[in-house]
Amino acid sequence: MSNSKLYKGSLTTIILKLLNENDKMYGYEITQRVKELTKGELKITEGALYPALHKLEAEGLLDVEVAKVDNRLRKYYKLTETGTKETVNKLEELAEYIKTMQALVNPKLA
Amino acid sequence: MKLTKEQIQFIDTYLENSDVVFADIRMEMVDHVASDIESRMQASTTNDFYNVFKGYMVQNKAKLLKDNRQFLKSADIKIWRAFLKEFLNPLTLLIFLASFGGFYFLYSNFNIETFRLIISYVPLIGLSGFLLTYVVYHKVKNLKRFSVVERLAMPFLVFYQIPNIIFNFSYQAKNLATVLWILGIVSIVLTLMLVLVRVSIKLFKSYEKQYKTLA
Repeated sequence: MSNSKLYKGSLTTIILKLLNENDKMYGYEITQRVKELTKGELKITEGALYPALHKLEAEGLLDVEVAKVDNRLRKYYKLTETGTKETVNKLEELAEYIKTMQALVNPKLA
Repeated sequence: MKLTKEQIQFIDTYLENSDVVFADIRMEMVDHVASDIESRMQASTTNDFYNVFKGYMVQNKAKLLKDNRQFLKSADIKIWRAFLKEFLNPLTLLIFLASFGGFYFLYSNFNIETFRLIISYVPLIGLSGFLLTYVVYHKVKNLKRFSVVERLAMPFLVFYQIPNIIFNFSYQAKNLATVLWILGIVSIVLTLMLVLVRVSIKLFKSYEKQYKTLA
């Protein structure tokens, strides 16, 4: 992930937001979607993505579904009811954070 | 361009040999690697799977294997959540009361030495339940190794040790109050171990449903 220290704290929110917009997604699809949306600026590595997905699953925010696709098993993630509620909270937190940072870094725009 | 069954198997074996022993973790990695290789092969003119695979691994192996080392924390959270859910089941209270009643019956009807001998076997009852479940699913039903299931051994070992400590206290069981305390603690430990056995069975069943039927 580029600028990893800045983006690290937002990884969970990014995942939840993407899953909120899509019914279900698999790991590789998430990395590609992020790459596409940020025009290659943000690259989520496997080493960061999967532990985050597994943690969200263990916390009950994500549900999994395994399906056979192209000669292999694929694990799809989707939001649970708690996950959907948490997405709203996380997005509000992030918006607040961006606003605060804006006020600090560029007071004229805030 | 999609990879063949043999090429997928090659990735799976490579990862297994790279110490990614748990099937649930490996399955996800195989899909990730295969998806990336397919995309690389589509983007380039080469159809040589082995060269693309080699290029991918040189670039990403360390990052990929980082995930394998981080599964433990998530596995533990999953176990404790499942444990708590199962613990709050009304059946748990019934098991505790039955254990307590059963142990009290033994205490009342046998001499103290026989009673001590019986409670010394309590940890084995819980542990045997887990081992039996493990053998049935892993060896008989041929289910692969899964991260969360194997982490279950840890709480079993913790609960296994507690009755051993209580067993030492049982030598001081001279009055009824002390005996009731010992019976209570041993019953709690047995109940918790049986809750863990139920958690193990549920986890094995869910893995069996998710992975084996699809494999």
